[in-house]
Amino acid sequence: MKNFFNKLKWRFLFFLSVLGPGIITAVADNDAGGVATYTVAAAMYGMASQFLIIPETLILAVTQEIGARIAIVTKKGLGDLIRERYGVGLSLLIFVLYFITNQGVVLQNVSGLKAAFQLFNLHWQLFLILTCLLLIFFVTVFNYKKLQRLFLIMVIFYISYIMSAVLVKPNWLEAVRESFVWPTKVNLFDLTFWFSRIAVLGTTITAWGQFFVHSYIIDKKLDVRHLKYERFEVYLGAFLTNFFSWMMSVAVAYTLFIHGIKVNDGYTAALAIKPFAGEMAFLFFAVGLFAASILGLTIVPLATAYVFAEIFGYEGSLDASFSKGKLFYGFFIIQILIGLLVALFPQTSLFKLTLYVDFLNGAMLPIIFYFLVKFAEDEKIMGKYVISGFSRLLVRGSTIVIFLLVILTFFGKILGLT
Amino acid sequence: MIYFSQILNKKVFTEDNVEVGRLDDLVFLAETTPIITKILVKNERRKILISLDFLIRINQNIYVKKSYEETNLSENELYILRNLLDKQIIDISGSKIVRVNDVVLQKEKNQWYVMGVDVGILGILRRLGLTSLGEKILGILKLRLTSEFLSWGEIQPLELSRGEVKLKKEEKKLKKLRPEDLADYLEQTSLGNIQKVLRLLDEKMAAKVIGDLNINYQIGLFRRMPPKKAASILDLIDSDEVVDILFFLSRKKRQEIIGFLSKEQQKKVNYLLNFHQTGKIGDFLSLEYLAVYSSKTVADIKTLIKKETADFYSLNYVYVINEIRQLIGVFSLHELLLQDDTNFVYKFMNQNLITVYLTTPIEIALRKMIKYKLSALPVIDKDKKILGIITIDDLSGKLYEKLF
Repeated sequence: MKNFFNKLKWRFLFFLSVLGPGIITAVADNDAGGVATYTVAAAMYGMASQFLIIPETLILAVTQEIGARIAIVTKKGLGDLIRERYGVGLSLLIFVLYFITNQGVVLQNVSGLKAAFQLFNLHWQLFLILTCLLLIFFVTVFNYKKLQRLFLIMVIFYISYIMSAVLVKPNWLEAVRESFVWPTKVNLFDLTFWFSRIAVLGTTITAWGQFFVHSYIIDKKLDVRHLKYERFEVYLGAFLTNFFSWMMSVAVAYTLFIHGIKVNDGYTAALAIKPFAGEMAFLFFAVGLFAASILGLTIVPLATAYVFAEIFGYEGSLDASFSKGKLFYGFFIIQILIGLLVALFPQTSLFKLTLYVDFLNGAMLPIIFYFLVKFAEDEKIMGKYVISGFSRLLVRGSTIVIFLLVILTFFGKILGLT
Repeated sequence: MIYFSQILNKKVFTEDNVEVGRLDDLVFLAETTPIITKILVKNERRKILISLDFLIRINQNIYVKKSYEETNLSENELYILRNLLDKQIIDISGSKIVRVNDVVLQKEKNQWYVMGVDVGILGILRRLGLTSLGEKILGILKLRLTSEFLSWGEIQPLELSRGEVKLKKEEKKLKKLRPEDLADYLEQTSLGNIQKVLRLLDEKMAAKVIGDLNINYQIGLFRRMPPKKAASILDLIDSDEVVDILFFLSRKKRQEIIGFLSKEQQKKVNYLLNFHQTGKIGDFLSLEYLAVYSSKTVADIKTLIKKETADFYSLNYVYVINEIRQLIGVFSLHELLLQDDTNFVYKFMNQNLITVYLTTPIEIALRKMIKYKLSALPVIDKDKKILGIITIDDLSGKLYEKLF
């Protein structure tokens, strides 16, 4: 018995050594743009906006896991592999698309941060500039380990969504039934509901998320011994992120949806919650938005910088000094500064922007998954860790589902249904 | 000099214009001298590996003899596209530096070599077929891109076979284009080709490269060059070197070139030229030197020193030669003792050589010793082969004469 606990203790410690990439990437998928999408959908459709959350979590877990697996086995980033397999032309094209998409996501997060400061009644211009500079400072000066701690602290802040969900006193049983079993409060033949549901999925499974989990694992220098534990960590991350977004939806559904109030973004949602659930719930919601924006604002430009360094072969590690990783840190800084500058001009329409960003992200996903499947099934790359049997089926299945959803969304956009 | 990207996918024909396919890859030996050995041709049906012995020429298209035979990959052979292009380059400490953007090929006599790898933005533009567009845009921005490349001498061939493009040095010690290495490679080519490459470089770099060229090529180049142009390059080279070169030219050409030199350089060169009558290196040539191959380890060298130099009067430097006794490097005993016993000579030897010729005046040899703080200099012939050494001990009599 003592032996058993001892073994368990060691396993747990080993697990702690891999902790980070899966959870941070998955939770960062719930960035400011994510919060906006969830709240708008939850205000429209209630807990039905979280219908099919279980298969969604599964798809996220499976897709993130292939990235993690390829990263651990090959010790090469997705950018590395694409450049080495497909040459400079295609990799450059992908990088340009990727840079633009991520710049859009960065903008969403800067404006999310702006909204959070406005909710706290702070001088938002000043705080926005200060926060951005502070982030740049942390990322360039801190090493991997310290930064990861910072990220994990930000993840803990997401608990505030659970708090605010509890404070609105929801009907838990009904929430579970609506989302896990069968929604009763929406018309399932309503196409716009389904598009909104796909949009929710789209903020969770992202192009940058796929690249980031890959690069971040390599930067953590995990090896094949960690494979089993890392897989579990990725699954845990997928669960956590959807757990948080579910709670967020609960908070919105049992205040705004039941009272029939529509909102446009996280900011208006937080304000609208106040009269129904009180000051505390509002504050928790605002803190959640703040943490989401900070996490997104750091992770997404980092994801860009990693891929740049991978494709063009420059030093790209959080452990590298600034002088060694000039271009790596340079890309991180540029994306934040562009985001900051645009957000400081109040007339920019972020609503339109979100639409384009989603569109680009959607366009990139099939390409990325094509590569992921291709690499994961290539024995030359993966050796004995090549995916086969059931997991191969799962990966291919998830990829096909995502392909179909992306095509559906494009049709929806063309027909003006979203 | 051609770039791999320029010939990739070119059509391959036999001499009677029968199409074989398109060039899919090249095979080279992953060794100190990276000779191209085979070409891989791809057509709709299959891929054919053909030995370079059957290659006739490469121009608009590639031509091979119609009697070509298929062959297989041998040991130590790698593909350029599959094993080198687009791969990550790391330095000796494992830091990432850049990727291989293109591969530079070089022809000497009837052999093709891998000269080095292009690591610059121009390499990327060339791969994308955007060179002219890129240059236009940069022209508008008033920027000029120069080619950046690493010569083969920087890369560890052994590591390449293990799938890593690893350099011999740390990044900060690396000048992207090292004149002496470029010179080594240029020497394997025609004078016309050297001129072509030199035109690509700025004058300062060109001067450095010329300074490191084999004396045969230096003479050849300056004989062809108009005196004015020659003078403008010689202005940038050390006056000692200039004198070495000038001695090999005809008296008339020498005087013409000197006439175009800058005032300062002219003064120095004339001063040094006066020593010409004062005696020759040959009188002081010593054969008490140790020459080793670059593939030896430190432990090997230590054994060699014990075995071969026991009756030497002194030993300060060990010289590194290649198979045909050309001098390629040097290291001091101090540098040797600092290395681990298992380290290879090529990893730490100094490739930046200070040498003299039999025709070099003694005074110039002395000046070089004092200037570079060397107690001995290798004497080489026109083909860079080592003939012997001169030591400061032997020359001290001369030094004494000069002083008093």
